[in-house]
Amino acid sequence: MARSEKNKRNRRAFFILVLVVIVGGGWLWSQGELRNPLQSTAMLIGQSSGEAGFAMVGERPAPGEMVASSETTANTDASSAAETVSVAEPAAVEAAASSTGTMTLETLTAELAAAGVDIESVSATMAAEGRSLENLLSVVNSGRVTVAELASRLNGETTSETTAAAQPPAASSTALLDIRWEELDSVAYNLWFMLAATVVVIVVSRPVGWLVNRIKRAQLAPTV
Amino acid sequence: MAVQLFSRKSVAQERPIVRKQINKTRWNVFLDLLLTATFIVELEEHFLGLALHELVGLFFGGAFILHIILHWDWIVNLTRTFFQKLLHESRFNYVLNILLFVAAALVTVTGILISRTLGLQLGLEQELQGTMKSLHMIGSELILVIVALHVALHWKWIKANAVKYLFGWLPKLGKRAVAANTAKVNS
Repeated sequence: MARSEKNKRNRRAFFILVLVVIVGGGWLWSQGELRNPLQSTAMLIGQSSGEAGFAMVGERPAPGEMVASSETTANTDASSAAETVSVAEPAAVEAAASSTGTMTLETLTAELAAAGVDIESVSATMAAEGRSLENLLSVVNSGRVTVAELASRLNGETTSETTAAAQPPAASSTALLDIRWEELDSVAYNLWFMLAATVVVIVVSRPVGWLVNRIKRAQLAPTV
Repeated sequence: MAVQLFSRKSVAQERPIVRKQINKTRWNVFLDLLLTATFIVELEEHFLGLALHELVGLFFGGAFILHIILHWDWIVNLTRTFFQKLLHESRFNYVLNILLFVAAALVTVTGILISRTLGLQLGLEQELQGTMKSLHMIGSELILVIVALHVALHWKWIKANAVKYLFGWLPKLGKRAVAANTAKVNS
């Protein structure tokens, strides 16, 4: 009696957990925050070939600073594009997107070209940094940015140089209380991922447990 | 006077020694919840900002060490008897925890080395700093997966004790927790 009551409670708790995971997942999906951590890790590994590594939040220049730095350091068109790509990527990763999917490189380049992005110069500068357009593809496929947003960022950084350079740099993010509440979605994603992993482990542990018990019994069984 | 002193002493000797028992499980529940919450927030340095990210990271490192100390007996026991029962959930848990320890140590150490607001300013070479940053970020992504599995494997314990210690004051849940404990003792 007590055992069946306990089972019933456990089952109810499990269904509540599943419900929370589904509803939370749906909400994160609608916010464009649902991403595969393995894919984003692979993307990070792919991006890590650059000399300076990743841009941390304190190092990531504000939009005004970004363009100002690209303006001062870029002497040629190619180097200007290099700056644009290198600063656009963290910004692109940061941006929230509304759609995810598995896009091919051809589709991505075609869509970027249609949006007015100079693919050849972007590709050349990324190649010079030991990276490729595959990195951009990973960013788009991870669902954290749409092609339109990426294109507008790649274009916007070059077209708004004069106006943005005139703007004062944003406040330094090394201040102690610099909490960005708009990033709360990412925190929610971490919590959701843990709950989703719990559901997966609970589901998987049943057949695995059964299999392990079978192996144990087979080992203990007397050989005739 | 001497008689008085003597009598006082004897009374003190007769008084039963009441030592407040430290409830280790309660400590574990609250520390683990704090660790999980800190970790979830700490992973998003965009959310916290760099200065707070580094401070919270240091706090997390300290709390992580405390977590290991509180589970030291389990670590020692399992290390001694690891090969005796290889097909046991605890062995998988043990391996996962070692991975988690290595990854957390890596992320903490690299985080301290590349810190910019803690006042250390180690003056690492640009290339080395880049590598450290890469390791720090890749390590933290991997930790999310390992911690998620760690939480999932301890789900029963979390559920039972969180209900008991966090919501035990609610009459219905409190009764249930007591009933569950009584049933466990009886069985």
